[in-house]
Amino acid sequence: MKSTKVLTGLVCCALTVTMASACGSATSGDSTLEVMTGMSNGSDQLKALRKVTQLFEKKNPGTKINLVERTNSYEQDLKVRLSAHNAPDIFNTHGWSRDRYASFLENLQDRAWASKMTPTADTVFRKADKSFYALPLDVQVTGLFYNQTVLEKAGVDSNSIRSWNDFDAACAKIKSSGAACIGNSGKEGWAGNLADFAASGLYTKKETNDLKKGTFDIAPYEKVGALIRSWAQKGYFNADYTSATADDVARMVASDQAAFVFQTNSLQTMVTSYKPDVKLGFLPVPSSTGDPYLVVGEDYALGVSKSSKHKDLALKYIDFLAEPSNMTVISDTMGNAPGLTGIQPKLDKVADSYTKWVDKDKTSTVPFFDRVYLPSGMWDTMVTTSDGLVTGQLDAKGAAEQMKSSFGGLYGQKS
Amino acid sequence: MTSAGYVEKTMRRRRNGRFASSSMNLFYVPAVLILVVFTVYPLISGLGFSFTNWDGYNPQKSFVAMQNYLNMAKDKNFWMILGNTAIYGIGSTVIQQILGLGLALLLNAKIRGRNLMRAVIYLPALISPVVMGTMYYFIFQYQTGALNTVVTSLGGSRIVWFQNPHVSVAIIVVVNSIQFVGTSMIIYLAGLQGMDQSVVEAASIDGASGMKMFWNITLPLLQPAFTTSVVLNLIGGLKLFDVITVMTGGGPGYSTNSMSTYISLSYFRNQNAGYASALGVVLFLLIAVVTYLMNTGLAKLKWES
Repeated sequence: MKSTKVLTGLVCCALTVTMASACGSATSGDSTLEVMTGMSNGSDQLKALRKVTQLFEKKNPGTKINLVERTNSYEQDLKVRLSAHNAPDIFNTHGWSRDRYASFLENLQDRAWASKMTPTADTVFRKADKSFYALPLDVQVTGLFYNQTVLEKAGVDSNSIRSWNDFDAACAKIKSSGAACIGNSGKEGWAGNLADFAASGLYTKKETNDLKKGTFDIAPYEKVGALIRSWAQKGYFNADYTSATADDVARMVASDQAAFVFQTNSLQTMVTSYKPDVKLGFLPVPSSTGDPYLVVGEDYALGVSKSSKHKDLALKYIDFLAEPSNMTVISDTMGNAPGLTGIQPKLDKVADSYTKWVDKDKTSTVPFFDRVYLPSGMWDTMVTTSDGLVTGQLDAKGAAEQMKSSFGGLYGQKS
Repeated sequence: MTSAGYVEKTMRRRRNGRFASSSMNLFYVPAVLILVVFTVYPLISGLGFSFTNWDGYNPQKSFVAMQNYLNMAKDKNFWMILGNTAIYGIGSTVIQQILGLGLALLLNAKIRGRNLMRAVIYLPALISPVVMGTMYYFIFQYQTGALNTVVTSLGGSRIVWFQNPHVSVAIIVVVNSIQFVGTSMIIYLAGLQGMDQSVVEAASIDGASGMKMFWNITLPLLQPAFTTSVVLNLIGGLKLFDVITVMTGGGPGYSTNSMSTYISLSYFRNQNAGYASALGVVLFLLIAVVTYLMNTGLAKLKWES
């Protein structure tokens, strides 16, 4: 009987300890850094980062860097870790190092490489007081991503598209040629980019200032909604919009079935995996209030958690990544502009467009609309309302009202 | 046996009995701990968060009293999503009861291969709803989906199955029902096999057979199984999450969201953890009330001939 009692006690202790251990930290060991990379398993970006990381580990014996691959719920995973005061040592800030995560991150403005930030990276990453909170592995400089072959077949000159009317005329021609004018994935939430790219050119300076002050007027956003709704009504989107995945859209572009995609240039990596000799480019986004513009923003960037127990080591690792030879290895896989000077951009299929619009024409740039003018958390409302416009669930007014409602709820939280 | 001997033996038995029950109590300590940590604590803290404007990850939050609940009442999407949730719950439950009972009656008969058929019908309940949703997504997918391949091979044009929200909701209900119809079948099979055969035989001697036997004898005797199956299916349907996330992501727009997916969307994507918590409280109350009503209502239900 005594042995039964002991056994019972042991089983209960074991089960309880097992439960408790499941709540433990993901990192272990004194010199192990956990890096939430935000990069997909098997991607060129992660392979490059792993290659550089191995060099760091070799130079720093006893150090282990645990590179955590991206999951479908990366943002949720990160927020749960932050709310549980269990932040990873280093994490990818996925566009939000300054406007969302700054209070969780170390200020990097005194690092040796800080002065090497490109002017574009400076505008995207730095606060007014020049502080910044993540090492940019690249910077998004993007516009309307297109397939040159589809445009040529439809008789459209990409350089001639300067206004939304020009874009509309081009879409009509492309539709007649049998291709979809706009390839988009409702399933992946890409509809949000339709509004995010177009809004900057449909809002006046006063209207954007009002947004910053916390006033959401329905009228300007109705213009954004009306534009998207008109494209849907004219049948410019891919027929499988609702069920298409990112792969489906990339395959459509690769097989000359879709002309434009409102996505960043990094899409080229996926498209070329289906057809290496595809002809791609990008052009500035038309504007109703000024000249066409390019959209710039943070892309892959790594920040060091303020609460990291290995902060010095984490900063040393970040400094190592910023060294030109290492940054080149990573930057070469991004398909975007580098964030540090002295790194040659490797833009592959969109290199010609980059040279024309950025280097030669010095096209003006605007930030991603939602990141600057809307409170953090509005992106998803932008996605769902744009999705509603494409599928006919909402009209322009309904979408604007939905945005206003969400804006009202989230503005008060703005940190 | 002497009186002293009897007393001593009784005391030993009681001691052993006490020991047996106290040691048995220890076994459910881990289960209680799990319940407290993962259910009771989140429920209480969720109730607290529902009165704040917390964004879900920043330490700062302010008390906003009933504002989240007032916003919910004004939120058009909430009412549409509440309707969807009812459709997922009731629709799945109705389909699963009809099919589950039918299959149980069929596979309770002595037919060849019934064990294999029972296993095949129950198998989907063993896989993850995410896997189930993904498999059916590839059936309904536009470009290379199995259904559209059949349609085009018959000379038709591809159909955008997820374009219409009503069709999308119906597809989700059907997929969820197919997955868990095996569970209902097993519950009804257990009910059928545990049935008091003397009642059945007596009815048979009295001349009952066919539909008369089914309505007047079998169905009333299956009442406990019916209650269990309905309540389990209803709770599962009201909490539906995975299949929706995988198949439609809640779209187009908000049109196929359930309360569970809307909570996730509000919490993690809209960064409105306070509002999401208020939605969670409402979902909890909804399920609690419905379960109570079903349990008490079905327990009182009697089939009279």
